[in-house]
Amino acid sequence: MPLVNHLRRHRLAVAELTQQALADRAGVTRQTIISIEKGNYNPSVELALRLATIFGVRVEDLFELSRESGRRKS
Amino acid sequence: MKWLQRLAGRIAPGWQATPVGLASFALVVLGLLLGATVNMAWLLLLGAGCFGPGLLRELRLLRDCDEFQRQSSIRAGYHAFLAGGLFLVIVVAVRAWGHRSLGNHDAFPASLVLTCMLVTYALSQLTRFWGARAAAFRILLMFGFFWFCFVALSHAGEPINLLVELLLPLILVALAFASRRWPRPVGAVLLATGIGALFLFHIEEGFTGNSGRLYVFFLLLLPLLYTGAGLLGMPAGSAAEG
Repeated sequence: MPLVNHLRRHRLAVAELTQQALADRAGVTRQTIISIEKGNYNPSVELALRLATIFGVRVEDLFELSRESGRRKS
Repeated sequence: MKWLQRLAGRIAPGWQATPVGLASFALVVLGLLLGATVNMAWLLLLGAGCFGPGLLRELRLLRDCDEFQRQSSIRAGYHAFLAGGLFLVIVVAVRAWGHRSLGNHDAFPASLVLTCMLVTYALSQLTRFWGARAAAFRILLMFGFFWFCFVALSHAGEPINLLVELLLPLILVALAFASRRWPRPVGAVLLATGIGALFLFHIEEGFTGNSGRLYVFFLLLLPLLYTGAGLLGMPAGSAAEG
C-alpha cells in the first residue's frame, strides 16, 4: 500500500479519541476508521479533509506517500 | 430492535447492524422459508431483501452507508458480476460443446447463476469489510454453526449418528479459532480440502448433467476455497495484527 497514514497516532496521542468517537465526529462508521488505520482503505479527499479538520492538522500530516512510492514516481 | 443490534454486534463486532440491514436479512430468510414451504413465488421477498436496498441507494432514496461501505458494496457487486458472467459463459460453452449454434439445449436452472452471484457478493463484501483473517474466522464460524444446526435437526433421534456427523462442524469451528493464530497453515488446509472435495463430489458433472452439484460447489465449497485463498494470501507475520 503506497499510502502511509498516521491516523492512529493522532487519534491516540493528540486527540485521545476512541475509534467510535472519531467515527462519530467524522460522520462514518467505526469500521471505516479501523480500515483506514490498518491501511486497508484509502479515504476520499473529502473524508481526509474532515479528519484533518478534527485533529486541527493538515491532510499531509495524516496521510503521506511512502518513500518507496515517491522514489518510483520521480 | 435494539436487542437484535446488540446480538449482531456481539457476533460480529465492528459490524453495526442497521434497521435496513436487519430488514433485508429478515426478508431474505422469510423469502427462503416461504419459498421452500409454501410457494416459490415468495422468492420475490428474497429479491427485495437482496437487491432492494442497493436499488434505493442508487436512486438516492436511501442514505444509510458511508463511503467505505458504499465502496465495499460496489467492489463486491463487480466481483459478483465477474463471477456470474464467467460462470454463465462456461455453462453456455460447455452445454453447446460440439454444436455450431447456441441453440436450445436442455434447461439450466437460472437460480444457480443467482446463487453464484449472491455468494460471491457476500464473500467479497465480508472480506473487504473485516479483512481476510477476521472475515475467514466469522465465515468459518457461521458455516460451522449452520452445519451444526442442520446436523442436530436431521439426526435428532439418532445419538450415535449425531455424534459422528457433528465432527465436521466441530472441525470447522476449531479451524475458525486456529485461523486467528495460524492463518496461512489453516488457509492451506481449507484450500486443499476444497480442491479435494471438487474431485470427491465430481463437481464438473454439474455442468453437463446433475446441476445440483453446482449448488454444493457454490454453497459449500466456494466459501471454503475463498476463505482458504484469503488466509493463504495474507502476508507472513500478520497473525499478530488485531
